[in-house]
Amino acid sequence: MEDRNFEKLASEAAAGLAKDPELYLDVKQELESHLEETADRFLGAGNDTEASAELAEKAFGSPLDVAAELLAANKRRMRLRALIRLALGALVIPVAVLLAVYMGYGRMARAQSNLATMTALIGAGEPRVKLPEPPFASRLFARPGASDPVLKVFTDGIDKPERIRAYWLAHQDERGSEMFYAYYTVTLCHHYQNKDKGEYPEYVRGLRDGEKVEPQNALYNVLLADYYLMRGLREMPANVKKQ
Amino acid sequence: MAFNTELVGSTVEMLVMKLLSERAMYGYEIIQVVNQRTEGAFNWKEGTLYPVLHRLEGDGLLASEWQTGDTGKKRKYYKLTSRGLAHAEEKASQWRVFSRSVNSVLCETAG
Repeated sequence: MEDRNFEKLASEAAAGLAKDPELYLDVKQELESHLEETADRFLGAGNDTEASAELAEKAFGSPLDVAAELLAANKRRMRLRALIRLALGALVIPVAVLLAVYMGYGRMARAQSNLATMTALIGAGEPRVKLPEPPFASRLFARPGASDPVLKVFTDGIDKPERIRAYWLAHQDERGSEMFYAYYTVTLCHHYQNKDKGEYPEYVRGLRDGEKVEPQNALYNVLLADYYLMRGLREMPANVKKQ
Repeated sequence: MAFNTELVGSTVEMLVMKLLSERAMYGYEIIQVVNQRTEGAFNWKEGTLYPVLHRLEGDGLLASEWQTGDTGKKRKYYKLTSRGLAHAEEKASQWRVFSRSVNSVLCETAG
């Protein structure tokens, strides 16, 4: 059974809680539900709908009396909830700003790191894009690679090309996974640069496979040409070099 | 018989907690059960019960949850928390000693 007057009665009885809208609506709904249950009982006892509603309202008594009792009972709870809301409101905005700065800086740092590696590799010098120095709070929180598995592969990967290759193997069916393979060959290139620049079959195999992974990417051809050029120069007899 | 308001007020909290220690109930149901068990001697009103329920909930002795019954009606069920259960037992124990003491004075025959 529903009665618009039940809503009015319940609203009046819960009116003292209006400063806490969530609590107010909850208590109002509870009282309305109670009035409906009472009216149903009168209906079940043989009264018609209208008489049942009237009897339920009468049994409810004065909504002002109920309101005073409810306000007194909920005052402490309302104060506590208001304090919690205030504290949350004061915390949410700074935390959101810090999080946004952290995430944004993490992404920029990774982008810059990749750009620097690639430009160094092809000999284009320093990257043109310079990131501004992040604020202290960002430096404090910005630890790209600390927990993110992808970032970890990238930040630790310079010394561990096999880890990057394993990551690519696990994700090679995914869109954009060629980037990981390219990065794998870049790390091999770092190793090659740091070695005595002698034979490095793993590097050559990696570049050859790279041509199959991403045929349209000239990176592999360039690196392979560089490798053979350097090898040729090293093995060239001294008298030919002079000429 | 109409009871003294203070006398009723001091027992409502204890009786509510005793009933909720048996099972979770909603407000209207609590009033019905009390009326049945006291054979109509206690005629609790909304203004009697709900403030007590809300105060106990605010003190962390009760927890509430909205549930939809078989008839599709939404009802707010109250149940005792573990703290509430300990509190209910303590209150009941106090009351037993108190009522026994009062009765021992009231029922003592002169002589």
